[in-house]
Amino acid sequence: MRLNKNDTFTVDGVTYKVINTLGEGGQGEVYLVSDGGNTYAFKYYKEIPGSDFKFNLKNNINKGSPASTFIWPKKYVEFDDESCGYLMDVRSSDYVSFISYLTGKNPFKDLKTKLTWCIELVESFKLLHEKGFSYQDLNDGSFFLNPNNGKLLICDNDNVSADKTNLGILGKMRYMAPEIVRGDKDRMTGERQMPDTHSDRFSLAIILFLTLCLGNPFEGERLKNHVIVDEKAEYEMFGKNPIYIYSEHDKSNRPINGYHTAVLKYYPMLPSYIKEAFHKTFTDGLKDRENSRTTEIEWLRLLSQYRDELITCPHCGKEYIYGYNEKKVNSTCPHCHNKTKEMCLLTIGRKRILLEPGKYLYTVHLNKYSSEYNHAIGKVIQNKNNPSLWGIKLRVDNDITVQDRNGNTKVIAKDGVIPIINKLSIQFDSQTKGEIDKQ
Amino acid sequence: MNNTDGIKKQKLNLVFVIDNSGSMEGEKIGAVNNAIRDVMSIMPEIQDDTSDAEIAISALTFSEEAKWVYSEPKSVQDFIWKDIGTDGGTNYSEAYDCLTKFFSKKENGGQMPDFGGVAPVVILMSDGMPTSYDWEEHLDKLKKKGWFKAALKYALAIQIDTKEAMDVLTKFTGNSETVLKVYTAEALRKVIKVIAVTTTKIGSSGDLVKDGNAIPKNEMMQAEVNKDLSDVDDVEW
Amino acid sequence: MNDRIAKEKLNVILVVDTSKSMAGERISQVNQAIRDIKDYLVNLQVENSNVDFYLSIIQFSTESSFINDNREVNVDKFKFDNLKCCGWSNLHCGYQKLEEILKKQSHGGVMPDFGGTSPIILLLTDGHPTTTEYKDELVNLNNSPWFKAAIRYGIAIELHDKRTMGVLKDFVGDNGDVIDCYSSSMLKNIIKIIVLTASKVKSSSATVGNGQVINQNQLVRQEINEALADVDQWGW
Repeated sequence: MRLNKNDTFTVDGVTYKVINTLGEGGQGEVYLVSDGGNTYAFKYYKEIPGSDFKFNLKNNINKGSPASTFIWPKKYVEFDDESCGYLMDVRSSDYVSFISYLTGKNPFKDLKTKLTWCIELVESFKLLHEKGFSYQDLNDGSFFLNPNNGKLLICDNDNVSADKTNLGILGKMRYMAPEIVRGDKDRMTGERQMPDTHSDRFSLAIILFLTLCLGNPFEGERLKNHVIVDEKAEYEMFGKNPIYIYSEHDKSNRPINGYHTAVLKYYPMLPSYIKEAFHKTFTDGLKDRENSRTTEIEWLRLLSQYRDELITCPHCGKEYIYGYNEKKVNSTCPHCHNKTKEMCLLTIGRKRILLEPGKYLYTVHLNKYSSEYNHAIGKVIQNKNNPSLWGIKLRVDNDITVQDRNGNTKVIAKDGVIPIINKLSIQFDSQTKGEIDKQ
Repeated sequence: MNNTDGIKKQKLNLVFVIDNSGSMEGEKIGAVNNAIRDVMSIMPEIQDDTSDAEIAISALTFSEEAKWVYSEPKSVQDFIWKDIGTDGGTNYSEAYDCLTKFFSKKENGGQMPDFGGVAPVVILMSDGMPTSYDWEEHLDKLKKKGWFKAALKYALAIQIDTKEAMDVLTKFTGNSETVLKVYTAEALRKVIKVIAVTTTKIGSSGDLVKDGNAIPKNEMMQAEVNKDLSDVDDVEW
Repeated sequence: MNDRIAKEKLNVILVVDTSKSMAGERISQVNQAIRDIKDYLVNLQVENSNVDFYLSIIQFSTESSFINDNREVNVDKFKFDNLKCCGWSNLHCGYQKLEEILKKQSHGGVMPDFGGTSPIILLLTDGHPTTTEYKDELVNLNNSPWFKAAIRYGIAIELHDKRTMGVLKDFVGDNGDVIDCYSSSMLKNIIKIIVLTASKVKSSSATVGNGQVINQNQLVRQEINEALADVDQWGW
């Protein structure tokens, strides 16, 4: 490490003092520094990066962070010897690494929270891509999570750059889109394909698959061809000839019984529309990189739908999908095989939400032109004295009119609670109407 | 689209006008490609919601020259977006000429129906730096077209920070409120939806555009959309 | 136990000379290094999504044995009594034990039948083998694909004879380096740097940079060299 405790450096008139070392990665050293008031993390590159890299880093700092989930570079620092780095915020200790989730050390509180994290992840990439950036080097080390509330942090944002502009690191095998691993020719330039939003989208689907199924979508039977998994084996499995483990066209790479146990357990429990979204990306999307990879908007819709239709089994306390979007409704818990007796469905337009205490309503439920999939505006609560009475506590600015099955109407003032009663019709606003259905 | 159920659907033309000149290189063209793909990914849903009109999509790219991506408007299923790259100058003049022709009746070589029809939606995406000096003259010609007048015109400002550049876009839309600095596909959806709603309200063909003039209802609708879109503008980045 | 991702197996194997001359500071440094390695790998095991770590410690003196008679054990369950030193330095006995585990599980070894990772093997010695039988055993070892694939390091502890350096060089072949530990006070750090650096690199998927897939074993050697260069600068 090149900096020591109490070393100082000055940028734009502000002096930063090194408090201690936070870590060391392949590219650089990270220190905790203080400007006297606030603390920051300082990433100091081991080797002096090229002028393109420096320019891009400064550009990213100027353009600003696309979303609060990105631990975005805040200030560029360059020393007299041209060595450089950047300052960023310090990651709060509430967050654990995505890897430690994968290894079973830090599981999410429940499936709802896991999906909330997935939605936050996809939303972040949507915002990044809307700005014309691509992340480029998505891998298991890029993400952090709060297992209790599904909040996300994205680190290592210094490789983020404009589409198809690459600054050296193409990515990490197992997470990269295969055309980038192989170095296929770009349709437009005729040169080596560089990472862009489309390769990001492929990697994003891998991260989602890892999150939901705890396994890599391209690691199955064919692992048996490799006694030792070295870079050549990885090139074969994840670059040269990847085969999706649940491909309908090629069943030669299914998960291995007794080895890929988590995938074999979790994949069958996914809703069919999530399976289809993965299938499209991991089969057709291998070749048709522009139009067969599930986009962020599609993921947001599907993942919110998944979260909406979760129900908690009253017997074992685990969540599963009731499956009103499936061919067959599933009233038996796949975990404990008990029947679920009661169901309470709120229908708003095309959206159907299974209500149960703790469930949230989000902006998109009431406004389909909204792009806020994770912004909670209501919560299902229980009456303190009579827990069998449920209601929806909404945080909206307008009054809400409800009508029961006998035609009695009632106005619920803003911040009031909407009672959850069978056949209750709810006029959320002039254009949005919902109905409760108990089954 | 099949019309076997016998209901004659009206065409709702959605036209993307995309600046892919050299100045758009990098994040800018990335943002444009992404925006169109995002809109396309919710388009099937919009078409489902829009039972009365058949959405037809066209895309015009312009740099040194202006070029239609498809030679004629495509349905939601058939319009496949392939990312475009950047190159050359910013020939607004030629782009406007192409649009002028597009907004002519079929018999005059354009894409507009001879009678009836729904106001088109035109979305210009640019960083607003023309390299052709006479672009305003060409725009004036375009503005004489009734269909263009009737159209809901939006411009997505791609990383614009000068007033001059902003003016280029404002002149196109005729209104600074319809030049959007921040936009999401979900919000753009509302633009298209409003037109669809207009058609259902009017019910029969021929009313919306009369003698090349848009009826006031259309303006009301536009005001409503702008209100929603301005909410999006308030989002902090 | 929570559900988790399926991971490959990475064997870290230490072959330690426990002959009489190793007694004192030398073996005490080795013992400390092994304890530190365990702590580090327990953490790295949950902070990487590619591999699980298995430790094997082979000691050789007059005879050879696995620590606690465990041919391999996951770092989580690894327990360890300090190594003690006495007797001769029969390297060939150590090689035999190594050969015994460097086989597939289905052939009586501890290596997985599929989806393994090239092992990391360290050989530590402070003197020449008592007998020459090690040469024949090395021929046998070289027939094992696992040995061939392994990242191999030799640590020469305060050793000043070329003959023994040659023994270590033959052991590492083209797949590693011999590190000259000229003061036993450095021993712990050298062992740690090698094992930890190699484990860290091997627990991650290969990166692709500038259009090339980076060779992981070469990367291990490069990073170890850089890390050891730092040790030299500490001014021991």
